[in-house]
Amino acid sequence: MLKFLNTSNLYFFAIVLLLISCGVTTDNKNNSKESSPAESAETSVPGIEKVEFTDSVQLKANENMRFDKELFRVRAGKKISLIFKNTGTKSAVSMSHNVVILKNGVDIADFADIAHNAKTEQYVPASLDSLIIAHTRLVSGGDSDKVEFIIPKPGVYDFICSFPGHWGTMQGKIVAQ
Amino acid sequence: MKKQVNIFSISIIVFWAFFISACLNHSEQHNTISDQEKKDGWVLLFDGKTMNGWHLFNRGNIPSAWSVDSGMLICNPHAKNVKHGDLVTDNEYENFEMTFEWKISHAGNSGVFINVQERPDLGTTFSTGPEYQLLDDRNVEPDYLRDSSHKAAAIFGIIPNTSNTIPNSGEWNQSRIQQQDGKLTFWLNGVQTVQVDMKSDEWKKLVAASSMSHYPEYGIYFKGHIAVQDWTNGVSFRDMKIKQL
Repeated sequence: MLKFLNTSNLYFFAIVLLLISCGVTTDNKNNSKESSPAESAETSVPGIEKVEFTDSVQLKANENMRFDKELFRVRAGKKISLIFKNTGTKSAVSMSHNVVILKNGVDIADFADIAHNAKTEQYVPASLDSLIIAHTRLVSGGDSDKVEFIIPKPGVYDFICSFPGHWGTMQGKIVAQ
Repeated sequence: MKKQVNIFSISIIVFWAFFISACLNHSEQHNTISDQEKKDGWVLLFDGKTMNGWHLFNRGNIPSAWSVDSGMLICNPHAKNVKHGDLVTDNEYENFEMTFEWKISHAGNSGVFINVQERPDLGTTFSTGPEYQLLDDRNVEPDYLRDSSHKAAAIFGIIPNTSNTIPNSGEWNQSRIQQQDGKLTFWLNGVQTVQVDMKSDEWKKLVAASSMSHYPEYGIYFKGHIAVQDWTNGVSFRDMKIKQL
């Protein structure tokens, strides 16, 4: 009945069956950091034409872990001020935040994976300097910080809070034109 | 004779191949409810195939870092063009027992919240809901564990896990939460880790002395949504079941 199943065919059949079994249970979750900056770089954001140009990026945040604004429009090549105020309660156990403006196309998750471990550098490690346009220091409740920066080229630049676990809900975009 | 032996040995190989295949497939039987569990009132919180019954906190059903993959509810921080945030159940629960399995990324951090209130003026799930902390205790930065209420299976920021039980890194861990009339109990891999009465003065004092005191509505509700936390570094869930008490 099973004449077609000669010895070599049977071995082949058995191996294929085992491979199929393994394939069924393979976890195909894709955790790879496949996206290079060049591939993910945005050039604009829908609706940006309705946003007024500014030379002052002013942000506030508190224990609710959200920035009060998430979209800015600035001129490329012009000096811009970044003012961040932590409007949370001033206390020893207040939630601290910062603002880190990333270069065009930097993968936020990849950046945060490394920044996450840089507690002594306030979660802005020097090893990632080449990926950053500007950043404030880590600001606790009731405090604020101000820095100035220039975005030399047009494009879309993400800003985040790099304190561990915050960037998911604390992020926004600066469009330079 | 030799040919007969060969055929016999091949038959054995084929048999084991089928056997192993059956075993492996059986081991993937997750997100199911047995007849006995049904009789006892258990239902699935996660069906293993869809995110039915869940939505993004305060944002509804929009593309998020949460998805279903191979029978797991996963949060992938590297997902592109999506919103990040905690995932909450559509339903609210008061007196219940809940079990779930979870696997956290290396040095990862997440959580399961209960009694979560969902309103536009509440920015986060944790501003109202106590958190069953999920953590890779073995690999997290040691400094983070100076506060023992940061350990896995603690009520984050409030009550430490003093059981000396820590989760298995890179593996599935089993957790259980029971809430009845404000009395809250946690288990991790079969070991009780926390028990507290949220209607007691002790609870109010602990909250008042903690960083959660920033949130005036934290820990005052005994009914609400259940939420899983997107802490932006990867977590998976399966076999999420709940029984109303």
